[in-house]
Amino acid sequence: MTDSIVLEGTEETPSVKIIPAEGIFEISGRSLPENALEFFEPVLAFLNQISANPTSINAYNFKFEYFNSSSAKQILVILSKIKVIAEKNPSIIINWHYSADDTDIRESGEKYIRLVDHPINIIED
Amino acid sequence: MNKANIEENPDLKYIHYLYDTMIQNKLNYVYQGEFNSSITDKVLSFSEENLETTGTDTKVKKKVYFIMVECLQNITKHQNEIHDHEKDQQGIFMVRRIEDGYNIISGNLIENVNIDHLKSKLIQINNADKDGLKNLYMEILNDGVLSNKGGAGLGIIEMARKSGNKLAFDFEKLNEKLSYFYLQINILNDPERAITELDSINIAKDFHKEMIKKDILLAYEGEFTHEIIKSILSMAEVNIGESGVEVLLKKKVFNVMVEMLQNISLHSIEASTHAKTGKGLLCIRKENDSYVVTTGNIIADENIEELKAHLTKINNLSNQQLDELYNKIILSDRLISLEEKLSKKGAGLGLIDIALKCKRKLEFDFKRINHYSSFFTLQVNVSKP
Repeated sequence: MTDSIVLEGTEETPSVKIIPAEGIFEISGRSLPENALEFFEPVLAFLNQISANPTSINAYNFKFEYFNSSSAKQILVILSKIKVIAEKNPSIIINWHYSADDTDIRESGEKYIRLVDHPINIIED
Repeated sequence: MNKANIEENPDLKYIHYLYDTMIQNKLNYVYQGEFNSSITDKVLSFSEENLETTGTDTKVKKKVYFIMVECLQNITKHQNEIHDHEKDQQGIFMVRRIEDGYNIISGNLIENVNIDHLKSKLIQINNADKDGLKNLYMEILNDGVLSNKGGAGLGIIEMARKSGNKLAFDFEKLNEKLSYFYLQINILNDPERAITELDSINIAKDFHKEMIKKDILLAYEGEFTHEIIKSILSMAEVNIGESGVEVLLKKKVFNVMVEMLQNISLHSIEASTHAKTGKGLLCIRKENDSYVVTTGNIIADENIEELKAHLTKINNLSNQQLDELYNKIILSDRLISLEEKLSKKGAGLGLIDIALKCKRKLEFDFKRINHYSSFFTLQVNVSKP
């Protein structure tokens, strides 16, 4: 069984909750690390791992308040990896949450649908 | 050496002037605006981080910090006692990093009727020696009869005691009812020394005039470490958040600031040499309903042409085209030229992101400093969506 990753959110990094045993995958909050690659490295490593060994995670949830351009790139990479997993497991869904007046986050979600070329549920909270 | 096409942008002249003035007068940062406990909290955190970058002796740091706390509390208290004032009559807090220490300067409104009393107090404080000050302090404490200004008398005495130097002060009449009160506290790194000649408080007064003229909220010249950027963002968030400005504008300003500050941190010449973190200038000011964010940093010659081309290109693209360029870069694993260089450090998308969010041209220029570097200024106007 792959290990969990639980990182508490800070003023500049998002909260990351990946608990395969409970089927939880959620990244939320603010993401503005200067080196997003470094920060998201464990998440990418996790996704690479489960690509070969599927887990009980059926829903991948994203609830960003804000992310900088450096994070934007990494989020794309994360979504692309999830797409690969989802192609082998069609029950998997990706949820992109945004709060009511946050047009930027909503639009980013819609953009990612095109960039990743995979369905993403854009959900207003 | 490529001198061609490096012209000053007339809209950015004032920034060059600001930067030169700050360097010449060793101005570290200046904040003009609202003062309340949540804002001063953030100003203090920022000040703390700033002190960290200076390698100052711990004892001196503590003194400086203590004096800043008192100072900020004073400004808050007195500024908020006066309810009827103009928008350009805000409190001001300034820090100068002089040769052998610091100058902390505060500015706040004062009712004319209170000037004489305050003046005589300050003169009394300046004329007292160490023991005299201690006695003065105890006198007021024991007296129990504090002036109608509350504990302010004590605060100033404490600042004088901690600094070990005379206070410089001045009053500037605004109208029949109000004046502006400037107070300058000098702290030396070497506590054994005393300042023989005080730096003129006119330096602070003159700079204040510039701040008012241009409606400048914050001007900072120094290092842009990770922690400093964080504290600046925090400060800006609270300040803009409390200004009643709508949420979307506040978010936009925040977004733009993140990208611009992280750019300085990553790309200024110091970042690529021994210093490891970028150094530069940040100026935030208001213009009608918008916020204007300007950054400046020294940049190595070899990077100028490409950066200039990148910015010019961004300015000439329609929103649709910008969007396509953004997509091209973010999708690309095999990176191209400047974008590749920038992307390695994570900021290839930053400028495009700013342009997309602001929908206005990015103002910029390069001002030559010496034969291998120039000062790069970038200005973004963030207005209501």
